[in-house]
Amino acid sequence: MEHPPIDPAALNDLALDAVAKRLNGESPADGVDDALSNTEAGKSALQVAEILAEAVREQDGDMPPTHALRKAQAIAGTSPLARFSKELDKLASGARRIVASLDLDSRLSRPMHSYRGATEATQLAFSSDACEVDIELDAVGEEWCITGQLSCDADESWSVEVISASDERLECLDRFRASTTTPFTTRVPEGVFFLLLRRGDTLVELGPVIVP
Amino acid sequence: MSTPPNSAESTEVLLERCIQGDADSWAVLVERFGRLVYSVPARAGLAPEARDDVFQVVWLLTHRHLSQLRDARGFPSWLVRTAQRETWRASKKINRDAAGPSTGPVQVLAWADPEQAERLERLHQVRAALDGIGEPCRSLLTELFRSDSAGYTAIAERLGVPRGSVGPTRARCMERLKGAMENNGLETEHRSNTTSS
Repeated sequence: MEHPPIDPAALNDLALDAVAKRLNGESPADGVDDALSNTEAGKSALQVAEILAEAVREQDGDMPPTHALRKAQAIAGTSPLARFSKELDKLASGARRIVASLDLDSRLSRPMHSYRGATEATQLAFSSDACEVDIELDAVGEEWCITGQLSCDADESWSVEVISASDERLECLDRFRASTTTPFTTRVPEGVFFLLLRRGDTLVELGPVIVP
Repeated sequence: MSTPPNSAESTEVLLERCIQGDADSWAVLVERFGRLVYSVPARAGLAPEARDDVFQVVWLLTHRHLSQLRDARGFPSWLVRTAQRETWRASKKINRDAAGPSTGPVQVLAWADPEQAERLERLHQVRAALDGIGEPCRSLLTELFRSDSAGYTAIAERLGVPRGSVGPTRARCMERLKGAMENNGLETEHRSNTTSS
């Protein structure tokens, strides 16, 4: 039997009913399926109703148990970045904070067993929208030498702060300027550090850098 | 980062705050996408302990790679792909441990499945859109499809609306849902190969 043309406003309700009936093992009224599938609006309404039905009827087994959820939520609280987030926010003093991506940490790609006595500098590469920074860490006696090279679109001068994150507080160990043509060098003891690069109202955060 | 996050915060904002180390935003992010991640090992048939392990590993990896995950639109795909890979690893290990050294190749329970990924992401987006349109639309649209649905009269009574208004109101709610789905980047125009059962 041919179904009369459907009022476009009623398409949605008709589609919802048709899908619900089918899910319950019933057949939609004669001609409803045909009428819905004869127009693009009808097909679209039917498709949305089908996706909706699927989402509603999903199994509860997909829900993570509360203990798993809480454990995953606690992950962030243990990272140095999370521990010092509020302090770093204060140091930004209203500047736009950009946390640079760590693209390379040579310690992660190094063989597990190196030759005895062989010392190898650690290479780190950070990138952000504002600039890229390559860093090398070398042991110098009891200290570590950080050498950095900036790459930016233009030869921009940046203020660099070396921030120690030891003892649950932040402390500025060194402050200097650097640019694409002026690499920087500084020395730090073992520990956790952030390098803050400032230029105008932009603050690029590198870290946490864990030395060694 | 001065105001605490809420459940209505956009994923883009949450990701940026998480990147800056905001633990509260991380908690909201895990809550929002937890079901999407957990559904992968659950549907692969892993035991509850193994599901929990995969769930933790996926979120550890997510936290480690946060600074590279700024694209909110691509974030659900990244989560599902990572969950599929970790599920595949877990099932391989489970099968290997069970099989012993003398048996042949192990059967792997789960694998990278782009179709499954697309389906799970779509369901996630529909649920997000449903949450976004609020009440009474959410209840009106979901009640009909529950396996224990009690029919129009009961729905009308429960929501305190006349029975005759359930249909038209629900039709308007569906328009809102479509709008919310489109805002979430989900296609609502008809595509002949995307009907689902």
